Amino acid sequence: MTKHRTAALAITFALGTLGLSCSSNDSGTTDAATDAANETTAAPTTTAAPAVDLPDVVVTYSVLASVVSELVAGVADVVTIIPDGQDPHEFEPSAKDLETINNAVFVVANGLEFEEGLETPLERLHDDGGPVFFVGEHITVREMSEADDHGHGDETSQKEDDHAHDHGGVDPHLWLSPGTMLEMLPALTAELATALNTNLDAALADVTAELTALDKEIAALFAKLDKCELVTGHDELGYFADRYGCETIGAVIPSSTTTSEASAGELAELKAVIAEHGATVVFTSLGTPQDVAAQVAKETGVELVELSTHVMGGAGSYAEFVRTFATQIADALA
Amino acid sequence: MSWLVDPFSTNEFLRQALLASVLVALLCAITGTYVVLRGLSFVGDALAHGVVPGIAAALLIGVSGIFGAAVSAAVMMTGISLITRKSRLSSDTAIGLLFVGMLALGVIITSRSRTFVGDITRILFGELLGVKPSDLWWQFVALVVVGVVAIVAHRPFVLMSIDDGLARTSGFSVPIFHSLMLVLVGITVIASFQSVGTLLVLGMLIAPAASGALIARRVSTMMLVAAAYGVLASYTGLLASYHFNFAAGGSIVFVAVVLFAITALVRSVVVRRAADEIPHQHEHRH
Repeated sequence: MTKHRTAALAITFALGTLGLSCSSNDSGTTDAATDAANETTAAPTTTAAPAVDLPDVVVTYSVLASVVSELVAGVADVVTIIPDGQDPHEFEPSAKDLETINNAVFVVANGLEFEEGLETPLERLHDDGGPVFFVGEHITVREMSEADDHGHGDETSQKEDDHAHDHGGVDPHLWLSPGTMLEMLPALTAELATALNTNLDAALADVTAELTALDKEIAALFAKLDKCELVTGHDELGYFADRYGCETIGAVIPSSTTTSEASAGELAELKAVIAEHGATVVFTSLGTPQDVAAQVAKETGVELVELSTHVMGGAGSYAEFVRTFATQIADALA
Repeated sequence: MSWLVDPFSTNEFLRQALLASVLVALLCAITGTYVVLRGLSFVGDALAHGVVPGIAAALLIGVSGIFGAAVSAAVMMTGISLITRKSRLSSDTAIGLLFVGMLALGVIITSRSRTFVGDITRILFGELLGVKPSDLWWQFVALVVVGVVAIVAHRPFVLMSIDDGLARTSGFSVPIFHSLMLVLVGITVIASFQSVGTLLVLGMLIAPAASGALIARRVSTMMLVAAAYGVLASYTGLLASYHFNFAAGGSIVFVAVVLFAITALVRSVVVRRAADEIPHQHEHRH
C-alpha cells in the first residue's frame, strides 16, 4: 500500500511541476522554439530573418503561403503548417502544429474542407474569436455540380444520378486560378493589416499588379489552344478551367479530395469519356493513385503528365508555381 | 446477362483485379482455414496491420514494400513469441501490444515524411484497380509455396486444429508447426497486401474460411468451400463496384461477410428442422 501511495504522490508531483513549467513558459520562448522547429517546414519563399523577432503569420499550406509572404514581407514571418510535399487533403497535424496555430497573430487557411485534418482545430479557434481567415469565404465558390459530371448520355445517365452526391459540395482548389486569388486579396490584406497593426497598401498594389499580369499571361497562353479538355487525378482544376476557357471532363478519382477511392464503375466511365473526347493526356498530381492511373494510361493510350498542383514543387514564387503547371498543360494539349 | 460479363470483357483493369482477388481468395482459403480452426484470427489481424510500418519505411527509402512487410512480419512474430515465453503474459496480450505498437509506428512514419507517396489509406485498402502483373506473380508464387507446405504438413496441421495433445502424441512438435502456420499467415499477408490492401487480406482470411468451417467437416473440404466462397465474393464485389460505384476492396470483403451470414442463417434453419424431425420420427415408430 505504502508503495502505491508513494507512486501516486510521485505522479501527482510530476504532473504538478509539468503544469507549472508549462504555464511559466512565456510566449517569447515558445515563439523562438517554434520558429526554429518550423524553419525546415516553412515555404521556400519564406525569407528566414530570425535576427528580428517578427510576429508569426501562420498559413496552412505552401502555395497560399507564397502569396501571403509577398504581402507581409518585412512585417511578419510566415510559418507553413503542412510541409511542402505532403498532400494537404491528407495532412494530420501534430501537437506542435496546433500550438503554432493557436499562438499565431493571424492564421490564413483555405477552408472549404480542403485541410481535412486541420478543419476542427481551425474552426474551434475561429469560433473562439481567434484571428482565422478562410480564403473560401471571400471568393466566388465553385459548386461541384453535374456540370463536372462526365456527361456522356446513353445508358449510364442513371448511374450518374446514383453517385451525384459525390460531386455535390464545393470545390476547394481555389489557389489554382490567379483570378480567384485576386478576388480574395483585398479582404485578406485588410484583415492582415489590422492584425499586424500596419499598412499593407503598397504590398497589396504590388501583388495585385503581379497577379493581374500573371492572369493575362496564362489567358494568352490558353487562348492559343483550339480545345482545352482536362482529365485530372482528382477534380482539382475546376477554378483554373473556368477562368481560362477549359473544361474538366473526368478524373481518376472523381472527387474533390484525394482521400476518396475510385470504383470500378467510375474507372470504366473515365475510359469511356477519354475515348469519346479523344483525350490524349491525363494530368496526375500528388495523391493520384499511381498504379490506377498507369492502368488507365495502358488501356486508353493516354500520356500521363505529372503536375505540381498542391505543393510548390520547387517553384520560388506563386507566379512561378502557376506558370509551371499551366505551361505543362498548354504544352501537353498543343 | 451481359451486365455480368461485359464489365470484365471490356476492361483489362477489372480482369486483373479479378485475377488478383481470386489468387488472394485461394491463398486465403488454405491459410484462413487453419487460422479459423486454430483461433488465430487475432494474430492474422495483427500481422495484417503490423506490416504497415515496414511497408511505409520501405517505400520511404525506396525499396520494395514486400521487403519491408517481410521484415515487419518477422519482427512481430519474434516479438510475440518472446513476450509470451519470457513473461507471464498471455499471447493475446503480446499480440495486442505488438499490433498497436507497429500500427502506431506506421502512422508516425507516414505522418511525418515530407514526400510520402503511398499514404496509409492506400496501404490499408490497397489499389485493387491498379494491380500490376508483378503483383500477380508474387501472389502466384506465394500460392504455390503455401499450397506445397499445406500438403506436406497436412497431417500435423489437421491434428493441431483438433487438439495440440493429439499432434504431440503422434510425434509432431507443436511449437515448430505452430510457427510454420504463422509463417504461412505472414506469407499470405505479404503477398496480398500490395494489390488488395491489408483490410481485404484479413477479410478474405477469415470470412470464407469461417463459412467453410460451418458447412464442411473435413479440413480439405473446408478449404474447397472457402475457395469457392472467396472467388464468388471477389466476382460479386467487383461487379458491385462496377455497377454501383462502390470502392472495390470494401465491396469484396463485405460480400464475403454477407455470404457468411447467409450461410450461418441457412444452416441454423436446416439444423433446427433436422432436430425437429428426429423426435417426430421417433414418435412415429411407436
